[in-house]
Amino acid sequence: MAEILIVEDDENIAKMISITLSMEGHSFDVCYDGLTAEKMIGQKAYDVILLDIMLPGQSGFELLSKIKPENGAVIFLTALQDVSDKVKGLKLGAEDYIVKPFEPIELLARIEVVLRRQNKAGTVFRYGDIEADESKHTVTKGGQPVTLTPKEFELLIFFMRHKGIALTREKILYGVWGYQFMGETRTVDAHVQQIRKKLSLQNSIVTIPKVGYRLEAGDSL
Amino acid sequence: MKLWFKLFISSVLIVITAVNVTMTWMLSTNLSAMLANERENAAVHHEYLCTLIKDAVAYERLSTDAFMVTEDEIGNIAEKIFMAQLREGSSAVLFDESQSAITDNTDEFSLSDMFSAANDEKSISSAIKKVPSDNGEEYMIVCCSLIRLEGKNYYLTDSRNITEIYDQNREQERLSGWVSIISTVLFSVVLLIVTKLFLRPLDRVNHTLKVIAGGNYSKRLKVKGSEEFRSLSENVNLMAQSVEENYNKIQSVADERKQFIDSLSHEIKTPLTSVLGFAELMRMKPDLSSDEVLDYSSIIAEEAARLRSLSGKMMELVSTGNGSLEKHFARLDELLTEISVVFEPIIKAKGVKLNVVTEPVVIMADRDLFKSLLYNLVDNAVKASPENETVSFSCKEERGFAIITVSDNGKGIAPDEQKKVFEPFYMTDKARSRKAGGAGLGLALCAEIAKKHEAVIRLKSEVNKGTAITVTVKAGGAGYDENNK
Repeated sequence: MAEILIVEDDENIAKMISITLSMEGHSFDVCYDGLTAEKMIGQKAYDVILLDIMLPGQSGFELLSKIKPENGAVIFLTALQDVSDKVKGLKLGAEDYIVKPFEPIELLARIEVVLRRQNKAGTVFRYGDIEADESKHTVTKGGQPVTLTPKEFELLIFFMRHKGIALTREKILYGVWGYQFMGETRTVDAHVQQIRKKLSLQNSIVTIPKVGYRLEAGDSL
Repeated sequence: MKLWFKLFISSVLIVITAVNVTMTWMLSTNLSAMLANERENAAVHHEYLCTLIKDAVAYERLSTDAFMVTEDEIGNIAEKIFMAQLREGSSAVLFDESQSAITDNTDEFSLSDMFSAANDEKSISSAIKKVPSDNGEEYMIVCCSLIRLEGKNYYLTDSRNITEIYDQNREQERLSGWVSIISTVLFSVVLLIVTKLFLRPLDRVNHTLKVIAGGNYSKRLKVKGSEEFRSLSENVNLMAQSVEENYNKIQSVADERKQFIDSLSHEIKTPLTSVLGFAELMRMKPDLSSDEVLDYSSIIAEEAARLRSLSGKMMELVSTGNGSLEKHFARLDELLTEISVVFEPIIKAKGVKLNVVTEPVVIMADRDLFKSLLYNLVDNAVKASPENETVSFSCKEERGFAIITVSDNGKGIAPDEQKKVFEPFYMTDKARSRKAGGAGLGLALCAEIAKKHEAVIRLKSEVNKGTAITVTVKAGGAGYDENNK
């Protein structure tokens, strides 16, 4: 997957990010201050740089102005409330920002978007004999096309993108239907039933009691 | 309407009026003076004619030795005299008593009104008459008088053309009209320039005021020009200065507040991110090992403890800032002893020695707050102190002041950081402070408490040698009663 640099002075947050990234199969380097980060960026090209703003050595904004596009796409992490700080970061050339506190799944989603923008994320997902092409919007099972509704298709892609990760119904609702959707978590259940039936995934998409669903990772490739 | 335009228009109007009134008045005075002069000349000439006729008639009578000169002969004599005396543009006529002409009458105007006025030989009536002619109008001055010849009454009239005077006057009027137009134009131009020139400082003031109003509060007017503008400029500058000062004050308060809020939100959100993140990881990670569970949950606990410490310190800081103090007499040496007792288990665990030296000193203080101040100072010193080193904690009285000293042999604070350590959320070593549960608020709290007690905190530090903090507060021994704390 992608090469990611984590620049974060708080060790626990850096650790949390590392674990999250390794779950998704990304490789990463970690550094804890602005000066070391500058050196590391000079030595190696990254796909994504996760950059904290309040850093010892030099601030994230200072570092941001030195990073060139070929060094890697920057997503900055900020605890600052002000909109102007976010605008400042984006104007300095960051691709996106994440406001602390954030959840691991949100971080993964943002990274995914940035990678997709760079065309580094795969658009074809495979799971067993199922193949889903995101750009063509087609799904085949064992070479035979399967018809899914748009939301079922997006839900399938969402599961395939987060293989092996337990997803709460709220998160699925947020990831597939978006912020604005005022629906209930039962909508998720109904769509999951449909996918299971159409693609015979009854055993692969498991229900986790009180949490949600998970697409088992073992069966992939 | 703009001020310069008002000034300009009113000045021009006044000048035009004044010039025209003066010119008209001068011209009319001039005309009447010339006419009076003409009348006088005419009267003299008339008299001369009368005398000539009288003399000629007398001479005729004597030379012809006649008893009387007849009317016809008088007419002839007059004709001859008129021929000899009258110039171009003049004419004269002699009338008999019945007012019929006995000489050639070429006058085209009526004389009847003149005869009634000329009722005796002495008085000469004169008048100016308008006569229509080929080229417009002509003006004639006419004189008339009674003349007695050979026992009979005759009337002599003579007239002279004075159109020239009127023509001259009209010419002058035309000329003065031009003069007034040209002078008005010239005056206007000059006035315009002068007005603009005089009011230019106003434009400058206006322009600068616009700049100041636009937010550039450091802009000042140049003090120059006339008295009024100098004073105006000075006052505008004073205003701008006070606006700038107030603005800067407000700005620095706002900056400080923003800094505080930013730091606070950073300090809250950083542990929160870990708490939320690791809790989430525990929920979504497949095949979580028991080691991982232990690791993640201890991080969550650690970060939660950090939040707790932060919220406690914050509450203390806020309540110190807002609340009013309850100051009582307090034995400072007792406070020191109480605190050293609290630190006993901590220094034992860390392997640091605490050397307490006290002198009995009484101060006026809010016991709890002042203890908190001392606690934070000792806490910092103990944290900074390496193992087996000594932290000294002492108090003494000197010239009416109580002096408390806390010193350690730790790594010290760099000179550029020494001022910042009293700012909220400032930490010299972030990673270590956080592990130790610090929120960066300890010294800020100390500074706040010291301010409330009118105490002064001084920091002396050398890198790798150690730090000494002294608190100087007024000693208040008088009135202290050992039994009435």
